[in-house]
Amino acid sequence: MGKPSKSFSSYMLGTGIVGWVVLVWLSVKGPVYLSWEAGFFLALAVLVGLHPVKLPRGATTTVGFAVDYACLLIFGPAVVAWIGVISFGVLLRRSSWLRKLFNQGQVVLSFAGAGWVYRALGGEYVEGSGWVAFREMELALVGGGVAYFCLSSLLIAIAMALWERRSVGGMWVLSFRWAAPRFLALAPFGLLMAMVYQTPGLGVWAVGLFLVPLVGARFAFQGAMETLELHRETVHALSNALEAYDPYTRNHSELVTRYALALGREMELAAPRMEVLEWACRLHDIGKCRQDWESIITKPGRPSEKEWEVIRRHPVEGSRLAEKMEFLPHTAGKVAQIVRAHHERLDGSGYPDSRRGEEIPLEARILGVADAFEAMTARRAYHQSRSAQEAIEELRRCAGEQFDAKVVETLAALWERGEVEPEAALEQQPAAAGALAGSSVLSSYAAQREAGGGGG
Amino acid sequence: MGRRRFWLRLYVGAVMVAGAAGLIGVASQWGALDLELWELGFCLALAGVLDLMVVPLAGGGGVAASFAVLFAALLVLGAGPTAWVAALAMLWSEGVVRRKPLGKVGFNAAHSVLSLLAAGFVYRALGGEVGKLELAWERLWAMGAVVGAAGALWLLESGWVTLAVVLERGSLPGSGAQLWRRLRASLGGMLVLDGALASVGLLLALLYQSRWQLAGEAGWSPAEGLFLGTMVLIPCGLLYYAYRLQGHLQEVYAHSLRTLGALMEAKVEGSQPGHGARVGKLAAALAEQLDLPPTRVDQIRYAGYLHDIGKVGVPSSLLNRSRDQFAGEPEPLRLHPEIGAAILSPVHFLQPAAQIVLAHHERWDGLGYPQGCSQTDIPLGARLLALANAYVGMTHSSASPPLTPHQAISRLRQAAGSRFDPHLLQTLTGVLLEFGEVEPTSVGAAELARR
Repeated sequence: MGKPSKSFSSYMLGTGIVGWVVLVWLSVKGPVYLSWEAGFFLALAVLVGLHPVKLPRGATTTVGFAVDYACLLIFGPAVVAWIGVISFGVLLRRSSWLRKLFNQGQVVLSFAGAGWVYRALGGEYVEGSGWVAFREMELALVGGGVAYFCLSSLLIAIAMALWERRSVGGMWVLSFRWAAPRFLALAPFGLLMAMVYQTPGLGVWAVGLFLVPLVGARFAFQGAMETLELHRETVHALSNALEAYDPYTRNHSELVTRYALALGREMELAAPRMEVLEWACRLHDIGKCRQDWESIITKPGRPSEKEWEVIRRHPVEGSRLAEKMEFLPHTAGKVAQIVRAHHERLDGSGYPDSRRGEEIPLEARILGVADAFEAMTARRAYHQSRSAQEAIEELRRCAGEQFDAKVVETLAALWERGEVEPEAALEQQPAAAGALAGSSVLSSYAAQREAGGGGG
Repeated sequence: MGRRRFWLRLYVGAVMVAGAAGLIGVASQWGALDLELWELGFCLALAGVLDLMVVPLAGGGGVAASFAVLFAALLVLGAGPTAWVAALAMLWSEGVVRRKPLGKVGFNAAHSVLSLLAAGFVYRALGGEVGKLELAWERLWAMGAVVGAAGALWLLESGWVTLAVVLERGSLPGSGAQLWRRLRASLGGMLVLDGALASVGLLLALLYQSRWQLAGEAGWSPAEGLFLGTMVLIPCGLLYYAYRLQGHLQEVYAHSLRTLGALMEAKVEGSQPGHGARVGKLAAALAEQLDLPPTRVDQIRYAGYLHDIGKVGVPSSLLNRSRDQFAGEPEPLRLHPEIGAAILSPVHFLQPAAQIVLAHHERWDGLGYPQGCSQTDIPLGARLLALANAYVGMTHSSASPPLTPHQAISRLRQAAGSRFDPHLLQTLTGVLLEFGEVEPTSVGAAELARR
């Protein structure tokens, strides 16, 4: 990504400064509903923040929103903004000061906005009025929550867009979609906490009881996410290994995945679609059976009718196998669909279903281009490789009929910027093959295998 | 066979009779209770819904989210009415919705009733008063009764199911060590979930007690009942979702490994389709029969799915040579355990499985490969895998006519002590009996009788 741009740094700094100014203004102008219980909630917020759930790809999430929302309803914006600022100070103590400052500013502005909307819609705070009939202020509850969510995701989306040099709108939609389900699940939790808190005879201790199910759920989610990551790692390592011993497919899926993901990122695919794309790339050729393939590829001349049958069958076979590896509720069936469609052509002359144009999913069109690009540029035993320049010209020639012109142009742009480099990629061995090469008996064996492989 | 059924039936019957007696005994004191019908109906409705959210446990049985509501009712309404609510909710969820066999529904309802009555007894014995909970520093000791009641429920619910599972698997009541091992595993599995549900229950009980204050000036109305309902449903639903997701992903993981094994079979000439899946299943069943912990059973299963994955590194010309099960194999093929282990070991989680794959061609007498280690120097998982591999190879071979289970067992017995661990043959026959692959009257029975 290179160095952060100037506008990124100044945006971070600006948000932080505005946030602190608003914080001071909130604390001076009041009203500030402070009680000793605020300390309890601060401790709760820090505790929850210290134990995030690690999501795949290095992102993290916490159940902290439930605590924050409860605090807003109980103490009002001034105190909750302080809770946010202090807890970010503790949680991000090892991050750069700019990141800390931005997050503090972001949380203050979000709570200030949420508090303003909540108040304007007739909402009251528990510490302010002693007892709040939450039942009669649905509109304020929803408005406050939505305002907090929109502001916070917008402020973060702007930062991400500036960092990755992409459009703010696209980024906002992306982070919105990602965080909305969590928000919907946790907001009622926060409301319940506030209602329990204000009930005479219960108070803050009963709120602590909420912590136990939250912690339990957190551990289960963590377990689920670890399994997910493990699943990705395992399939990656094993499918690479299966390919690594086969001179006709060595590294193919690995490189196709790399190109397709670069394309997907550039075309601003949402996170779940990227997930589907990655799996489809990883698995797109599992339907190829080595023996059949070897004889067809090494034979000069056009494939016979029977051999065509074999070629046409591999996306179908592959999608059948991919279906068996279905893993996530939200990707169910989609990976198999993409694998099945990756040899379709825009003009309908592809296989196996002769679908055309928009009928072919975008992910499959991306995969098709990445697949062809890799096949043309790869150095393999059985064919002369072309330069990336030649490959792109060939892709452009077939754009519109075989390939999606937009995808091809995106690839060309990526290549010109130096973000897709087949030659450099070839130098790097994927992890699984590298690990195998570490063992001497195996590497000499693998070399022998490759040398003999051309003969079949 | 007959003997173990007898003990299981005796146990289930006794629990059901005791449960029914408990329910009737409680009903006779009904008049002394000050209860409103809508309270019971409310509990019943909530328990009925939450009974549908069951998180299955590895060692059999499961935890239903209704635990939270039943625990709250135990504290607020007392053990008697709660036992009735539990029994009725169970009849509804398992009998009407899931249509389980009547015996199972009856047993589950009966052991819930007994656990709840016992927990109610513990609660009162420790000084707890039904319907008079207080959350205050001065009366912190009263919380001891609450914790005691939750602990009693946790212990008893684990105990009933574990005992049933142990009896069903054919062990006789004398095997105390095995019972204890399983009970510990079950208690550990239930601890976090039960603890979380119990605290939701406690919260519900507290809220219910202060319902008049809760309602504020608007006054108590059905809307508050709805609120209390959401109160339990949201945390319970969240817990249920998280645990189900975890369980689902673990299932999917195993499924993917099986598919990868099948993929290898499709790529490597001369492999028998479905071999890895069968070996994995049988090896895992053998490990379970030996009461290995679930994580080890899983690793053995994964190793079974993938034990031949190293064959992708062996030239196809060498793979399809016909060979006898007991004769030496061509030299390059002997590398496949090492290649397989090297493929698996970069995945940290699969290290134990990689060790098993590495040693699955070792022999009891030390004449195997690649390391030539013998007897108990070979990991137990690898010994189980070797046995399962040989059995499946003999009974599902496409090259030579497959043997019947009967023939296969007698051939394996000839090789016990040379190729295989002689102690494990009994385990194999036990599992095959359970699978129904061999009749109790054939070899298996003779083997079992020698136990």
